[in-house]
Amino acid sequence: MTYGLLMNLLDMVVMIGIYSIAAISLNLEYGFTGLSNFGKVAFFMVGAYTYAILAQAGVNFGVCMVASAVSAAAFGFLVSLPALRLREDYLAIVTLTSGEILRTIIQNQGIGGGYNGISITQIFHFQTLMAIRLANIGLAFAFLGICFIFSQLVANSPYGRIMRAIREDQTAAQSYGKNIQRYKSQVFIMGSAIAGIGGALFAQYSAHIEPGSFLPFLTFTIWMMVMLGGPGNNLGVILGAAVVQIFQKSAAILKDYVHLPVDPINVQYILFGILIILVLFYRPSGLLKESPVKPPKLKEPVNV
Amino acid sequence: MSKIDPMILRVRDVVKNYGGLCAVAGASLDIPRRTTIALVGPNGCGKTSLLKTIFGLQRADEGSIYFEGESIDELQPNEVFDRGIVHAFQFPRLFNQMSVLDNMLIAARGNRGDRFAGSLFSRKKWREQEETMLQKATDTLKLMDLTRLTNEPAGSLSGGQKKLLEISRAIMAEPKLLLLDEPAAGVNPVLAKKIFEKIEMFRHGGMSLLIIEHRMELVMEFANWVYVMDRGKIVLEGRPAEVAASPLFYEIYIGGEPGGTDICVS
Repeated sequence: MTYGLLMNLLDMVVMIGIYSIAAISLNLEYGFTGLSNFGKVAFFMVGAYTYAILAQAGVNFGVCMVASAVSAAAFGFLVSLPALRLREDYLAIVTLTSGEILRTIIQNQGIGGGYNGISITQIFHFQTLMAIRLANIGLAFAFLGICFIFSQLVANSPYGRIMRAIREDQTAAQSYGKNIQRYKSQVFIMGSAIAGIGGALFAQYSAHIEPGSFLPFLTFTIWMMVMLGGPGNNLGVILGAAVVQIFQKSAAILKDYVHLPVDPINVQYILFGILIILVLFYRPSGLLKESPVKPPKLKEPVNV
Repeated sequence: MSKIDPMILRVRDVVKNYGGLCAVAGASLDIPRRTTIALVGPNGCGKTSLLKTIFGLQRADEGSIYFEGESIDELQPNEVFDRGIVHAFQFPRLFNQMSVLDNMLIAARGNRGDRFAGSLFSRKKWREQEETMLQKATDTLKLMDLTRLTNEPAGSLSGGQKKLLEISRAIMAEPKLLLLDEPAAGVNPVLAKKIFEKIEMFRHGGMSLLIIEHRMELVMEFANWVYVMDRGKIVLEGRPAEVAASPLFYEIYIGGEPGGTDICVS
């Protein structure tokens, strides 16, 4: 195995960690609560830019991470105010446009370097690229672990049961005393905060971000991860993130090593489309099925 | 000095229009505590609309509704639920991908884990609470013959079983006033009677009921008072036997003369 290929593989693992965080955040919103957030990239971008701007100003890493999560959550709250009063399909439209609007504003108003973006020094200063990549893998998966545990705790509690109930039937959930606006807003804030963490790690790892890094395609990639992995299953969406990322990166790697008459990256877009259609047709529940909320143990067994 | 309203619910001149269609045209009714009130009338006369308006699923255009002496006109369904009214849907609206048990536990009141902070930081508390709730849920399911389906997804139940679960879920919420929209529809006659017997049991426990029902034999047996609705208005009220004996009732409900039991026991 050549050194270049190994570096590419390590890069892929880092990105799997970062995308998994984004997938977990979308899973909270869509997988458990049924909120179609098609503007995931916006919250990812808010996290990334907050991190980049603060890190460039010399703020300490931990503070940058917290600030990224908080600013993304605040942006999520702002978007949720009008958006969550809308019906499902309109929510998708509003969130999709909010992402594009934010990107255009950043690009044209010169925020964070405008079109040229912003460069950040990485937090790891090791001699070799390999050591830096390995450290980044550790960092990404540590944060993934935190987000995963948080998401599991929330989803497997009475709160998570209400999230699912809202997904199944909002009117019925409201008829059983659940303030659905409040729940949806909270979930949106949680999801945005986690996406912000993902964005911050992305900025830290890439060392340079620009508006062009946050095209709507990123949102669709995250959606693919969730749909493929299994909405409503946190392990599933991590698996989905891994599969999609392996797919994407191997196309890019292939480009360097194999000479094909067509660009593998273009082929990859086509294959993605086919993959999504196949998943929706033959396995709409994704690779891993949703796990039910664990009920407390019955003292006496139920007589069947 | 506060006076306790002898009526748990007062509905005054409620009007509800859907565009040009007047579904409820000034209906008034009273529900005393611990009674079963039946609301009957031909299809499309506004019974379900009235029930939905009481529960806050839609706003009344005119009129007012008082629950335990307080106005509930402006409240959202979740707030109405918090006051103590529960509405079981005419066509069951279950959480289909969730288990029967989860459907029951959703309805339980006062779970600390329902709140975000509580779900994370009072894990021990809500686990204890859930044990009590679980006991109650399994007891209620047993009462409704749904025990063996406890862990099945609600969506896989048959039509009648869904109806039973809808009612069980409503009972799980310990209502002071239960609004039931055709509880016996789609349920076999033996089970329908059983449902009404259970409901009667809960009434003795202190619950009041407003039931829309077409099966007159059940109304005759279980209702304490009957309101007859026609074209959006309450046109007749009285004890079941009085109503059943009234020629007006036959005219509007069945469209004919009192002919015999074969018509009313359909």
